[in-house]
Amino acid sequence: MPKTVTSRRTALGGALAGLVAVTGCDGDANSDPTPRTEPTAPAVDADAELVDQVVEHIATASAAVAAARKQSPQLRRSLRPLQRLHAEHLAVLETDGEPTVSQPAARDVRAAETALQRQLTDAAVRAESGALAKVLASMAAAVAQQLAVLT
Amino acid sequence: MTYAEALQTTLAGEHAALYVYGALGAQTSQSGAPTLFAALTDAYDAHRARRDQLTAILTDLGEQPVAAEPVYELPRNLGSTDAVTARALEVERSCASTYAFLVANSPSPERRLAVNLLIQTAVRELAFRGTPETFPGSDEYADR
Repeated sequence: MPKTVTSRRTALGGALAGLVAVTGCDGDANSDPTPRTEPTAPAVDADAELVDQVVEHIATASAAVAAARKQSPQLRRSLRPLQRLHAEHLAVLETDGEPTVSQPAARDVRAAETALQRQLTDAAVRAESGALAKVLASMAAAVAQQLAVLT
Repeated sequence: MTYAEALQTTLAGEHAALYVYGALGAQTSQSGAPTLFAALTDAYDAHRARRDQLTAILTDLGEQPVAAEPVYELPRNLGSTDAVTARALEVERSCASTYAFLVANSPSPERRLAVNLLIQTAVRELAFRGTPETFPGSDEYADR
């Protein structure tokens, strides 16, 4: 489980402070470039509203999953990883208390997750901070993986 | 790190990925392991398209795209479909990290490409027995 963060501001600050240090696609390749960089870190408040929106999107999708899990024991089991994923993503971004869901829980999990993937992608593109963009893009990729295995 | 430098790093990774996939394909029987062979072929085609796309972007930026190395080091044990599959998964996971790096170092107007590449690579991991992750390409956020 990810560490619980004490506040959304703290979480965002943590994301901004993260360093990017990755290897290229080549793994053992002998020309392996090992980029190390500090993504631009603008003022934390620059992305605060964006993070609020992302938290609401994830909470909405999570509500859809929770509603579907109540429908049958099979769904309860099969959707458990998705609900855990949402919880871990929320833990990185926020929160003090339960996020507010602004719309009724949808029953169609696939539609909700597809929408969430798009929203996370858009948020990653809009983010002022490169570090925040990275974590949001990673969340979008995680949702895409779950969609690919969703039966 | 400029956007062009991040693109160059990503392109260098694509050169290496293509080399490795070529070797993995050569070790895989199309008739004996058709599913794996098809997945390797799809991956090779995807990475080749990415290489060409990144090359074109860098050229448009007035940069000289980084060239491929003459040779890349390969793991010695590729004698089984399990070993080939595991190596392909390593390549995709490494590419996911590289694309996440590109996301972090792309200006907002240019960032969608990197995000989409990260998503595509994360999904491709599943073709090589990868399992869904919490933060594909950004392991530093997992198990924090």
